[in-house]
Amino acid sequence: MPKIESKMDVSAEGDMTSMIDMTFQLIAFFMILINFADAEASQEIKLPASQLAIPPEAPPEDPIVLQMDKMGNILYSADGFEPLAFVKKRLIVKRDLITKAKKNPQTATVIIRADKNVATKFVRELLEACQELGFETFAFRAASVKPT
Amino acid sequence: MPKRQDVKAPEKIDINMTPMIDVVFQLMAFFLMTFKVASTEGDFNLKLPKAERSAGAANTQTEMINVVMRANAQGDLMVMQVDAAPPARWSNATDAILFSNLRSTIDNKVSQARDAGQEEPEIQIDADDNLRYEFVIKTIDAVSAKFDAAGNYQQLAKKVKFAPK
Repeated sequence: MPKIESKMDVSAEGDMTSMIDMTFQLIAFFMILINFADAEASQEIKLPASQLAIPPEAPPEDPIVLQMDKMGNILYSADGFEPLAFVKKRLIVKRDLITKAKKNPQTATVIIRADKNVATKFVRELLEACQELGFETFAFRAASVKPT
Repeated sequence: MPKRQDVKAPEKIDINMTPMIDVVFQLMAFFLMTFKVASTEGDFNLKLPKAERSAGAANTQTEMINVVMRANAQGDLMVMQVDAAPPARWSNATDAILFSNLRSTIDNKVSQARDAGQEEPEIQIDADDNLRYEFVIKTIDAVSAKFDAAGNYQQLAKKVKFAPK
């Protein structure tokens, strides 16, 4: 009668080290590339394109980002897009906060991210409202395109 | 004589990797879902003080070049006019030609002022209310800088403002 050899159970555990290494590399890649400032930018706004708009080297000291949709409503707070009259009240509060911090509103930079299809009238009204409150440094944001 | 110690074979310690791998995959999923190919944004930085303050500080020797833009009912740019000496007016042209003409006109004026040692001209943008904002940005783009033949960035007009309404 032939003898049946009994084999020991072989463990089926794979070596996970290389997979975990690669996964950590991917995480590191995405962590470096993630940009929370971009996440704040409204995706509803289609910026005008420009070849000569310079990407800022460093963020301004007191940035006030005002985003305007194509209807002329402005996104400044978490309350969504609002007409200029509401935003103006919030800007007064912001101006007062800057003044209380013993800074000058003139040093604050108002960044205007306006939709390319909005009527110029709305941007000018926003500009004038900011000027009335003492802001005078403006950055008009555009989507940088490479020269052809 | 010292007591002989029992030498034991080292035990293999199995760390349970499952929770760590779970967390790592959660992180991966988070970063993958929030990842967005960033479109680069740039700024045109302008100092725009309130009208009466700038008027008070205005130098009478500074030449003011008024860039007038007229739009149709849809907000498209139809006519561009530069009130300079000599004045220029363009219409019925493509946007590319309009802004190319504007850039070369401003380039000439700025170069003349620099060569003569005079203060550089100030640009005032007078746009129709319903003109689409992208044309305003194109105008700022055209008057504020250019790329020379070698592809280097060259600043043109430093002072740009909006006409009061």
